[in-house]
Amino acid sequence: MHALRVEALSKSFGGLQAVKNVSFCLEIGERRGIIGPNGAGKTTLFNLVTGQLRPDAGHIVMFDRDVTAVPVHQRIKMGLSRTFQVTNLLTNLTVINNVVLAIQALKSSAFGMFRPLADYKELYEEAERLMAPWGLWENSDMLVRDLSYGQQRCLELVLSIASKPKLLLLDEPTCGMTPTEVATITDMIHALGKNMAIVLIAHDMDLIFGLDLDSVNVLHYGQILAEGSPEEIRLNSSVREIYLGSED
Amino acid sequence: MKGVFSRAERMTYRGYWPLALILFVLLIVFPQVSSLYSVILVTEVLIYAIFATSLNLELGYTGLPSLGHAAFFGVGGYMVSILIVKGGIHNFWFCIIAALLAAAVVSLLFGFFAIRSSGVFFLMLTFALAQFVWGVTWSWRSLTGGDDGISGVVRPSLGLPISMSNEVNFYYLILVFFAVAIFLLYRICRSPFGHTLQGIRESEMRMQVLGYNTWKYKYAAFIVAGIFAGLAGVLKAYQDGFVSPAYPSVATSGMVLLMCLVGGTRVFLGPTLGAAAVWIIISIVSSHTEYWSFVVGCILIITVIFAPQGIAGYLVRVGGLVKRARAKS
Amino acid sequence: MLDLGSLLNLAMSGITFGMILFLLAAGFELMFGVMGIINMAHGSFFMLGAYVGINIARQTGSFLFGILMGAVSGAIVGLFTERFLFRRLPEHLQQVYVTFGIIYILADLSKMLWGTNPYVLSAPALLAGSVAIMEKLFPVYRLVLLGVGLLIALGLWLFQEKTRLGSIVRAGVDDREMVGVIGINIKLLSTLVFTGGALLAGFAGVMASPIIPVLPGIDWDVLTLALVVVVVGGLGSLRGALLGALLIGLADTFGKFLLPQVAIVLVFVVLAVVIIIKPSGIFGGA
Repeated sequence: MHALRVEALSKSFGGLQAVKNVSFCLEIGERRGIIGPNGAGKTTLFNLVTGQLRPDAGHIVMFDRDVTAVPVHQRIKMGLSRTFQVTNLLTNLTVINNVVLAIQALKSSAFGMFRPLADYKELYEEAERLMAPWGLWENSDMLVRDLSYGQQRCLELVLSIASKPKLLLLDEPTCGMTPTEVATITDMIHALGKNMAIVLIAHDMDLIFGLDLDSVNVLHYGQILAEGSPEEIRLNSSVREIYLGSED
Repeated sequence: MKGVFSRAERMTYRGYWPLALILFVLLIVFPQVSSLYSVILVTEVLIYAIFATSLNLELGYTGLPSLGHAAFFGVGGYMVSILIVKGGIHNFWFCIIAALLAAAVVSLLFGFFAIRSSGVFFLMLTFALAQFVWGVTWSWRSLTGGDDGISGVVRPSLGLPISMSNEVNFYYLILVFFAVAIFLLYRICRSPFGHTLQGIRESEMRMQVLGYNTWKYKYAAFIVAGIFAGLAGVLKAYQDGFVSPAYPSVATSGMVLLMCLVGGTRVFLGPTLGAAAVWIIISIVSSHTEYWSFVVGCILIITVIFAPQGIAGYLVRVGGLVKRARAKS
Repeated sequence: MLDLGSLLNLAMSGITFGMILFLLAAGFELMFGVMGIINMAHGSFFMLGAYVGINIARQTGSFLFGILMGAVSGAIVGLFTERFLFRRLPEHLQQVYVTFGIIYILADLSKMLWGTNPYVLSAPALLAGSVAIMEKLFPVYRLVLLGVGLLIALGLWLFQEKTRLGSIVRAGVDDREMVGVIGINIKLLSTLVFTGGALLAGFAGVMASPIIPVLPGIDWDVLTLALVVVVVGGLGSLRGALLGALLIGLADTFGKFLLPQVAIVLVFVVLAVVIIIKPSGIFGGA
């Protein structure tokens, strides 16, 4: 069984073909990077996998189940999760509420209308476990909009792993961060379980190597240009030609 | 336990219970020392407070601006009136439960169509749907009395030796309903469901990607809000002694929306405050001039431009500044 | 039973009423399309235009001057609202709330200035009376309304298709953010659109006054109809405004004739059918 199988996926907007006939397979526990210049269709690909966008053609198969027509929240229930490139948090709520909402999402208690949320102690204990290692627990009470950008990106990641996903999509998790912050995120990703399949969009090869990923796809104008191990991709001449992002 | 409330929330919550208690004692004592006019005024304020707080479940908590909330208010009011006047049924509890059921059914039906949209689309759809109800009350003369409405809605007899025709006694009945309704709505807002609604308000897409079936939550909020609005309609019909097409009209929907905005949508007691402020101002102004509408319009515009978080939001902010200043010194 | 003559006259009434609704809906659609707002005060602009137009026409004896001033009064209030109130508010919803406040303010201002009795304007002698077309009699004024409505519809279409400003407006309707990005002065565009829409509403108010008496409460009635037209026709579509207006105009007129007790209901039945089949309206895209 594959964690994720994408078959001949295509999506266009008006006249623009954002994703064109993309296919790839992801094993359970495999960690793959997706790189490509701006506008290559990477985020669109993620949006198709999560179900935020409907494809024009092709199939998406998660854990051997065809989810092409399945709504977003049901895919999440199957073990999918993602972060957003443009930070997408619940800005006017507190940090702790963001995390608690993420933890409770797949639990039946989420629809409860009678007991206060504060009574569900186990949610808060879980939240502390998730937040404490990364310095977020001290800031529980702050409103998300008052956090620094780096802290928000960190929180993005914490939210995505709260549901204990089996397939995690990370969209440029270190986008716009300082080297220290990048190190924190790298540590966070390293700490994720071995059974978690990860697809990570990165803008350059540094993160790919830093995270020791198993494989890399290169996307260009919506199509897969190359696929292979990080080392193979680094030496691939056509990749170097079209892609001015990474340089070692 | 640390981390449950934000600083701002904690500030209001610790102050909440003593404040609420004082307020409640005042409300209990108040009719003994006031004129009949004031008692009736506050009775109406309490009813509108229930109405406005129910709307805020959609507006402030879920981020759904409804311009058709009076539809359920009207359904509640008409159901009770039809049962009493046309059906001759005077059993208080039967009438209320039937009216709440009616409001639930209508909100189930309307919600199904309205919840598909959001923002200004939602505003318009809820408006259009409420106009149905208004149209029916206006046209179906045999059932609803048309634009004459239904009069003769007698005060309930509760099997107690006190008469509800006495305004003070009726006030206390309404006070009990107010306390229970506000308490229930408060529990709902503090529950996981209530917090999920706030998450949906902030970013529905984010909530979906966390795994929430947001449609289900929005629909439930719409129905719960509709039921409480129906309750308010029932109580108002008993108080007025009649119902008319004004109940489900867009003017009433607008009024209750206004009360939420003026009071503040991001604080639980905001709509209650807004109901009190708006209704009392209208009463004062109308005793001097017939042009209360002008005053209300100005209040709304001033609130939206200068105090977008409403009176309650403004108070919370001032309270926060005061606390910070005191902490520094 | 109904003879052809009466049927045609009813249809004519429905269509001309539809033309008035179109004038309203067109401005409304443009305001929504370009600015993203629901102008709750649209019925109030209509009412203001009618009151001002009627009074000016009576005082000066000139019907045309009344029309002009009616339209201008709408435009002035629209301009003031956009320039001084909307500019301070970042969110669309807040602007909608402001227009809501304006309903209340204009309602009382009108009562203050013109009282509560209904005002009707007699059409000028030239346009009063009926004319025979193909052996059927039609009121002249309604024909004039029809002509004016079609002319304006044509004018708006030409404006959108053929002029540079018009294509900017069309682009604004299609994609608000892009227009701002391209560097077109979105503030000026908003001012123009809102003022223009308010002008059309005021104009509609005066033009309608020979057949629709103006009195307190007409602001809500007209707003309701405009909203129904726009929901039926589809938000953001001028074609929708025209089709929706004609449908609702005919539904209202025939409703009043066939089922006087439940006239309103026919309009809402049309609304219900559209919402159930296609919630975004006939030509709506969202």
